[in-house]
Amino acid sequence: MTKTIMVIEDEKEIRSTLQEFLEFEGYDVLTAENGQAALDLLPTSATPSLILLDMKMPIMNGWQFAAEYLKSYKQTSPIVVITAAADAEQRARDINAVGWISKPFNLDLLLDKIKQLEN
Amino acid sequence: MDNDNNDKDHFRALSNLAPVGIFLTDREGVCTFANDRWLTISGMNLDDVINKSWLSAIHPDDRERVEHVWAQTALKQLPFRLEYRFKNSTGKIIWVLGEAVALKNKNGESVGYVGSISEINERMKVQIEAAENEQRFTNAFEYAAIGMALVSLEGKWLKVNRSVCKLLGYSEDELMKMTFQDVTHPEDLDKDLAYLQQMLRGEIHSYEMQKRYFHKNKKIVWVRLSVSMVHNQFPSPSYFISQIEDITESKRLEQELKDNEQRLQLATSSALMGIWDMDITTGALDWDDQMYALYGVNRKNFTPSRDAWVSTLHPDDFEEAANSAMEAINGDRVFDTEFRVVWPDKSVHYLKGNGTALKNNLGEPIRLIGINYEITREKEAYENLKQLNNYLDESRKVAEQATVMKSRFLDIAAHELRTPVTSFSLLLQFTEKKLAKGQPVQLETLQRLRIQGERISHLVIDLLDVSRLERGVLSMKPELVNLTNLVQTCVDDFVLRTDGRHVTCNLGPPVEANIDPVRIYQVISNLLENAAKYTPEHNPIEIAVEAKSSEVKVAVTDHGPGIPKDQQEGLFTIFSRGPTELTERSGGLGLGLFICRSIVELHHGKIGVSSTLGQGSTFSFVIPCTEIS
Repeated sequence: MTKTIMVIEDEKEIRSTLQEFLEFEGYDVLTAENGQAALDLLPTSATPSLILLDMKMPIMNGWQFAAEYLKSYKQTSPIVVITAAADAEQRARDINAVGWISKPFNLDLLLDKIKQLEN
Repeated sequence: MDNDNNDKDHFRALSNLAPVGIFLTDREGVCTFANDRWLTISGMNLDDVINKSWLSAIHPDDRERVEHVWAQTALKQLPFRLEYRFKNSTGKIIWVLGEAVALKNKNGESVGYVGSISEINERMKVQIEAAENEQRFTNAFEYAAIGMALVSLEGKWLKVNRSVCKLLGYSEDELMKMTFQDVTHPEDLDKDLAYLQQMLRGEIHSYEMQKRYFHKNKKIVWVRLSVSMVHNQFPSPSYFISQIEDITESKRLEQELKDNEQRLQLATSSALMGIWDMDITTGALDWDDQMYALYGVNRKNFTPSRDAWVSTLHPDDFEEAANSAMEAINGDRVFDTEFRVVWPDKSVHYLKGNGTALKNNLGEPIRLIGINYEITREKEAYENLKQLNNYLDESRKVAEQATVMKSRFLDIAAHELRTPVTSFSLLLQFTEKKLAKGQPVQLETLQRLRIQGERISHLVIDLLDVSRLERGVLSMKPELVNLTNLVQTCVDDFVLRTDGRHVTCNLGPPVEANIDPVRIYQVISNLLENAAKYTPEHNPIEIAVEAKSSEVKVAVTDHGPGIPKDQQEGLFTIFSRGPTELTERSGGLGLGLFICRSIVELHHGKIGVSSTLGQGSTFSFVIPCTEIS
């Protein structure tokens, strides 16, 4: 069964490239341009095995999304924070994320991280 | 013989009537007769006298002297004249002047003496009293507490007492060889001599003056001198009598007081300090000259009083100063306050006032005395210092704010640069992977790469522009340009870049302006890009060019959400961006409008915004131009 990864990212080009890359690597990909769009999408979509979450976004940012998501679902997917901020680690800890990746990043490293978490 | 006896009887009868004592002696001086008066004075009877015992009636102290002189007189047959005392049996002492002359016969031979005694008690009493008086005077003179001196008409000291010697430091012998001129201070001599001359001319009977003598040790001795003249039996003056009182100490105290007064005056005048004195019961106020100066008035146009003082007070300080004065008057506390006074020329001066109440025996305050001095300069300096401090505080806050802004800007710059760099990097990595696996790369992918490259390039150029503007090295290269055509080119390029976003143009007749075409192009493009960011894609953007005499206005209107009034002003400042929500959606460093404003201002123009929430915004700039007909 193909695993599903959700990408929540407001920057269109990053969102598109990640989607194309992960699909290229054999994943199903769900994309949302902000937290609210992701919450809207989740009830009708497949349950993601991992969520890649940008923190600074309009309408609903990463912190707001995480709070809402963890509150609404009993079974939650692990979250990896993707951020351009210098304090990526702190941000990840803020929302109980399982990991973090700083922008800009290497696609191979991202893939390693995903595989690591699958195991 | 009968004749002789008759003569003798006749003599006795007559002599008994005489008011003086009369006696007769033989050639040897032995008494042969004494009249009644003689017997009364001596207190003896005639037999005793004839028996030669009359000497026992003489006062014991005088007896030897009288006996001796009488013996000499009788021996040499000289006239006798002597003053001596009888002391009679009752102990009464009677002074007499005894006189006797020799009696001679027809042949000129001495036959005896006839003599008389007359009472001189009264005269002797006067004489003794005079002697006693003289003694008393001498004592008084000698031991007087003040100096006393007799001085000759020429100025020679004739007699001085101990006090004079002590006062001048010379012995009596030394002074006797000197004149008063020798020890008188030269500055006082003329005055002293002039008085003496007046006295000698009979114009005055005495004088009194303060003068200086030189002590033997060269020190100055201040004295109060009283001089009068003494006449002997003759009407012409014989000498001066001087009373000399040492007033050196009181002079010193007087001088000290004067010095202190002068010092106080000097201190108060050099400190521009005025002194005042108020009678609490009447409200009368006494001012020194400096007080008038402190209140900008003079003695002609201002009469100090409590009410007059109150009328000079600044309205804002009136209550406090007046209350403070009242409290001091009541004796509750000292007067110590600062207040402003308004001069007749309306200028305002800060004064400091100190004062204290003086009380009578009953402890009631009767006078309030004190000082005033101006503290305007101190006050102004203080105010200036306060202002400077405020300014420094403001500057510090601005600097701190600038630091915060700069670090925030750096954060934003890093974030905003990371976004396109991340996009560019991810797309490039993915393309590489696809190529590595022999998959074709689409043209569209390359276009996406170019767009991200351009985003990075724009951000870097903006940062460089800001850096140049901050350092003042961004220079314009103006040339005469058709602005209308430039706007059209901008719009065309924008449409091309944005895949045909709809722009409504209202350009009017051609306008020429002396501008840097590259930089004005940058401004117009930036305004169009902003409009596109904030306007939903289906809404048109409008651009208009409007020339008015020597100015041209270029306006770009969007139909976005509008900008709240309080955020409009900050739009054109560095490190500032529009509302956070919008910015986060649209990205960018928020430098665009700051750069636009700087470029427009370097063209001597102005940039601004008008916006209505929910309807949209119009960004426009005005620069000088030449209209083309």
